[in-house]
Amino acid sequence: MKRIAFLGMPNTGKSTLFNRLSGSSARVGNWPGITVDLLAVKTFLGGHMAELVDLPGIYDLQGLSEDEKIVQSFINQNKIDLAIVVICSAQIERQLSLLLQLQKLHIPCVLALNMDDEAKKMGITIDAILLEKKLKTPVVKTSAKYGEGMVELLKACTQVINQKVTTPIKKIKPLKASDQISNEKTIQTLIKLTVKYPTKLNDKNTKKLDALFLDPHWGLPIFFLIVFSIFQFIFTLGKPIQDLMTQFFSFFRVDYLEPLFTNHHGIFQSLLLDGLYLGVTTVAAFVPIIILFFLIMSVVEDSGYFSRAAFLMDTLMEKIGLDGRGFVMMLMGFGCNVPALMGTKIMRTKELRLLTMFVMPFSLCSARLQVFLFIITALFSAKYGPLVLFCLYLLSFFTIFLSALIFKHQFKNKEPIIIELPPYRFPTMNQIIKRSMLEIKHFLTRATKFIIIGVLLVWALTHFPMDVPIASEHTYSGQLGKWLSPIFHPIGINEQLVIALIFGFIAKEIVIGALAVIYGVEGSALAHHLYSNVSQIQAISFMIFTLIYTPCLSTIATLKNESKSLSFVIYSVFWALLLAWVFSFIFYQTSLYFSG
Amino acid sequence: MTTLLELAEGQSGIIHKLNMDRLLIQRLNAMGLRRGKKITVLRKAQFKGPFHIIIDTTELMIREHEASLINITSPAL
Repeated sequence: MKRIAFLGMPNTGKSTLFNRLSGSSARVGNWPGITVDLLAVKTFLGGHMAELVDLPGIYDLQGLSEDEKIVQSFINQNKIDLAIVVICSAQIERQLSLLLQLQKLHIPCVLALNMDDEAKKMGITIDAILLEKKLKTPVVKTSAKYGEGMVELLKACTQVINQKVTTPIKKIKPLKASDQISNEKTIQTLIKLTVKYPTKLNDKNTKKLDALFLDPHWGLPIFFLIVFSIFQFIFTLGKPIQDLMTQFFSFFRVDYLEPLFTNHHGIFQSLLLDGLYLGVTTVAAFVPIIILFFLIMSVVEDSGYFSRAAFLMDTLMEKIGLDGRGFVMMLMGFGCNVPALMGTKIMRTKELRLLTMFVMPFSLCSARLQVFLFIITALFSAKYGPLVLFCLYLLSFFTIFLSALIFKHQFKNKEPIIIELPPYRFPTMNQIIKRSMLEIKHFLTRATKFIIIGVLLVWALTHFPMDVPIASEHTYSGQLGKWLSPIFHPIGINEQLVIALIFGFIAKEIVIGALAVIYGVEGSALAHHLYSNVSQIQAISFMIFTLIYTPCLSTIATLKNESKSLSFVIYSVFWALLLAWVFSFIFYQTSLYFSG
Repeated sequence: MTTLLELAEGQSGIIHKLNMDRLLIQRLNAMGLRRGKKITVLRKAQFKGPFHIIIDTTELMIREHEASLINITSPAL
């Protein structure tokens, strides 16, 4: 088996090239010394089985960033038969250094001068034949976006892997200052010989678009307009699909599953339907939103607008230890935390990403909105209802900023924030769809087990012991509620509401359904019941707690997947619980005091 | 000797020195920030926000802190 690694700097189209060569069967693999997911695919090349691996984009082999460390341990611990070094042709001058560093390790390389179309448009010409001679490495001009140069690239790769390797591959060692200077000189000579730049470099389109999108007055309004439209698009399109799925799931349950199990013991039926089936449908409900989210986010990222948005929001976000990219993801979190958390992948510095993920669950997502709308309509007049909701949104932002401020030293970013602003590019459909499919596969494989276990746990809490009514005060959840009452009493949350909170752990949408089961009434009767049994102050306290206390199971599962750290998840959930209690306590006690 | 921080929008300078440790210099070099290169400030975000700069064909966003670590000389006319 031959191992072929894809290496290159960010924004070179490396992953697009990888996708071109790997087809659709790429999957996440495991390698010694690597804890993150790398995409890999097995294919047949030049008479050998070959494994293609897409390594993260890095600027330098030696550095200490997360991605650089991954590439280092990959190279040091896995024998690489061939490295395909992908560079953006228009930026060849600064990107050749990576190739020289790899050559020094005696790793056989093929150089792909990618985005050839772009360089041509800019009037940059590269003499690939001469470059190949000078570098003693095959050089191929490619345009992964349009699929050009793929045959030639494969041919070059075949040639290289069939050569006998004589010199053993070295481990990565720090570059000496003298090496760096000699590399620099080599590059300068090579560039002078092989690259011709036009007298005036001008990317008119990018300049014009930047003048608009980064305008000191119009930049921000345009940014918010774009985010708002994306938001509208994802959720106005996603909601009906989700509703349709919910309808289908309940239809399937009532018409097919329930009759199937009528002869079985009650508890068995309940385990399958209220436990397992609910778990599976909870996972499935996220599928359309995640697909839509990544369809749109890929467009935003690939087009180059995302880094412009980061530029616009960076000033404010720097103050709370985050960066502009985090802000965009946070706004998306107001739709649904799950894809927004997955989207933080674009931030390549660990601390920055962790802090963003840490505050993300405080975004008032659409599921929480449903719960609040029900409670607010039940208990507040049309005059005060919107005000209550508005305050909850304010509180959501406030908790995000407060948590970031408090924890910014804990997750202190040690790396310089320098972000490339690549030229505006038209994204390709192929790439966009692949990305969405990959993300959804990722979510399903990683989160399903976790979510189903969580749902079963809640099911057991609310259904056992068997001889008492479901979700009543005699079940384990009821006993837990009673046991916790010294904690919840001071914030005005009674035992029944505690049971609803336990349900809310699965998904916030379930809270209302849970209240219906707990009180034994549904719809407007439930609204009326709440109106006469829960005071407005209690209701607000309950909503504050629901907003902050713990994100849903799917969010927690995603937090775990993305951070790869259980202690981070526990830390974040614990902080949320604490913060929820403190805010509810402050609100409830002050309100009681003033209302006498 | 001035730093990148002192350049106004639209002004250019020649990178003279990067005041940071070697690993970081290597990374910045790879991003196009290298000694002897002409650097132009395209725009600055409001309220002491980041700079939008261009070196050859590479455009970058860089924060004030990092900008203050880059020594520049005025370009030869």
